[in-house]
Order: sequence, then structure tokens, then C-alpha cells
Amino acid sequence: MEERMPPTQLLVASLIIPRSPSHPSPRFVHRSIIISINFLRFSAERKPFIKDYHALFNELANWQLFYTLLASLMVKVDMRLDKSDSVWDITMVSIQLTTPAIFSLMAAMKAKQVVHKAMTMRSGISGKGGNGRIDDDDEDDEFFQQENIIHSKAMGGGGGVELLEIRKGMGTEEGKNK
Amino acid sequence: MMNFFGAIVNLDFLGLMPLGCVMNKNFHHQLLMQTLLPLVTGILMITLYFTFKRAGNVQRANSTFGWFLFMTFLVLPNVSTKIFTTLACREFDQGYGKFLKADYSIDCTSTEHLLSSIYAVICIFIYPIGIPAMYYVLLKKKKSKIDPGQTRMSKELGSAKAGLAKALEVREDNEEEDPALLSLSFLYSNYTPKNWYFEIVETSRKLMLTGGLLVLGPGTASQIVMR
Repeated sequence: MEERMPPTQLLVASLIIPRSPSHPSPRFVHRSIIISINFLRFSAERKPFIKDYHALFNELANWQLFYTLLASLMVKVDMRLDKSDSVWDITMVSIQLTTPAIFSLMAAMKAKQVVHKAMTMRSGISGKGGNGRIDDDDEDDEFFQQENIIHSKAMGGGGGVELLEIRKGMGTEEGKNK
Repeated sequence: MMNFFGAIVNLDFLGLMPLGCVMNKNFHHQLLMQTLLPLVTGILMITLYFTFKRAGNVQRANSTFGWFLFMTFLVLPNVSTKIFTTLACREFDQGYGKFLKADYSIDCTSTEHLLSSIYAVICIFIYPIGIPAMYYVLLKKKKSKIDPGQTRMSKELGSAKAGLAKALEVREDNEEEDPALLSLSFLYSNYTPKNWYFEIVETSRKLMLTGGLLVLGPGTASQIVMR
């Protein structure tokens, strides 16, 4: 669950919004667009995030900011849009909220899956005449054993590719059987 | 409605308070409130941090310091925008006068505004410059523990991923040995060891997109306030 949640910094940064996006000054927006693009390029080059998921979230947040600014610039070009300013404001703020909304939904779906899995396990144990409690000691042991293998490989210089394969396989049945 | 929503997502909680009912809420008062409140809270948290540290309660001290960093992270964009806005005036034609863009009731040539401008310049050194500088000093002090040599390890192991895994493992060991390092984890935990400074880069980006442009382009940002 924690694996799939973007860090607080990224969540907050993705919520940066222009208060009145339909009233930009073009020069201001131009500069903002240039800054956004430069930072996107810098992030892509440095690859600063440990988890790919966080990198993806950051990139999406940056792109949504870019497109909002671009849309602001386009709106500014057409001065006849006086009456629909508020509509554009709402539209662009909605665009800004898209990424956090999608990621929150994904986190909620993941949580639902975890709960469903736990419920299935519980009913399975109850059905077999157990006491209804989930005993996850065995699963923990298995997890720690796999972690030990990974650590020993890493410390012993067992090779990055092999290490990666073990990590990738951890979530699958095939990986568990290794 | 949009202002209310904007205040929520921009963490501008002061903007939500009906302070106008109890005090004259002009721009200068808002500036004072928005800059002094985090400052006082920060001083209280640092005092608490040292109190816990002296009492030997390292875990609570670190937790308090972590919350202090989180607070600085939250208030920085909003407060910086407010500070920069104080310096943005607009001069009207035919000698009509020079007024503050954010509040046209404020005459930029008045003594009150001059004092506010001096205060805003001092605040620039505390907030948009001081906070990232503080992040840098804190991280630089512990750099060798945050980045135990990811590039070197990658070369030794012959793989960037294995180098990263090993560097992260060493960093975790360092966190166990030095609990003070954990209190800074908010600033580096999401980034690879060799990019230990990246939170400062991100903070700079936010500052540039929020307040910085107001100063860089006076006269161009009269209708938009990037939060």
C-alpha cells in the first residue's frame, strides 16, 4: 500500500494551481512554461526518484502544470472570452486536480484489493475449521527469507540483474516458489 | 467558492479565517500575520526540539524536528508569494500615483508601505532564501551518511541498480546508527542517495513558479497569483 502512495511532497506539489488561470499575463505564463520545461528536462536527466512510481507521478504533475499554463496562454489570446472566464477557471483547476485524483483512486483500489484478499484469507481459514484469525507468521517468514537472499546477493556483489529479477519476482507466485 | 477551494488546496488556512470581522484586514496586516505565525510556530518547535534533546528523549526530539521541516515545506510557497507581492506596485498615468497591485487602497509612496517593504525584504532572507539555505546546510552536514557513494558502488558492482540497492542499504544502516539523520529523512528519503540535494531543486522550482516571477517581471503579473 505504502509502495503505491506518492510522497507528501509530490502530492502537495501536484496541487499547485493558478488561482485565476484565465487571467494570465502572457509574459508571466511564457516564463512559467520555460521554467516547467527546464525542470522537466532536468528531472528526466537526473532521475532522482528511487521508485519508478514516484518518478511517473512527478512527471505527470509537471506535465499537467505545463498544459495548464499552455491553456492559460491560449485563453489569453482570445479576448472575447470575458463571460466564460469562470468556466475556464474551473476547467483548468479540474485539469490540475486530475493527477492527484487518479492516483488517489488507484491507491483506494489497491486498498480495496488488500482488504478483499484479507477477507478471502479469513473466510478460507474459517472454512477449514480455524479460529477465524489470520496467522501471517508463515508469510512473514517467507518475506524475510526472500529479503535475506536479496541482501546477501547485494552485499556479495551477486550482480544487479539477478537482484532485480528476484525483487521483480517477489510479488508473483513464481517468485514465491523460487 | 473558487477562492475557498483555492485556499484549501493551497494550504492558505489564514485566507479562510474571517479575520476581517475582528481586525482591519488590509494587505499589510495579512503580510504580518502570514509571516509571523509560521515564525513563532517554528521558534516554539525548535525550543521544544532542544528541550526534548536535553532531556535525552532523542526520538521525540527527532520527531519534532521532522514536523518543523514539514511545516516549513507547507508554508514556504504561500508566504513567499505574499512577501514578493508586497514589492509589486503599479504606477498610474498622469501622476495619479503608485499603488500596490494586490491592494489598490495602499499607496506605495506612504511611510507605512515603505516600512512594510523593508520588513518584506528582511522576510525574503528568512523565507525564500533562508529555508532552502537551511535545507542545504542540514543536508550538506550529513551528506556522507545520506550518500555513502552511490556512483562509486555502481562502478564497483558493475550495475547502476545494484549500486543503488547497496547505497540505500548503507544509508539505512547509517540511519540506525545516527537517529538525528532520520529527522531529516523528509528531505531526502524519496530521492536516490546521489541526488541528496533534490528537495532544494524542487523547492526552487516552486518558488520560481510562485513568487519569484512577481519580482522578475514587475508589471506583468497583475492578474495572476501563482500559489
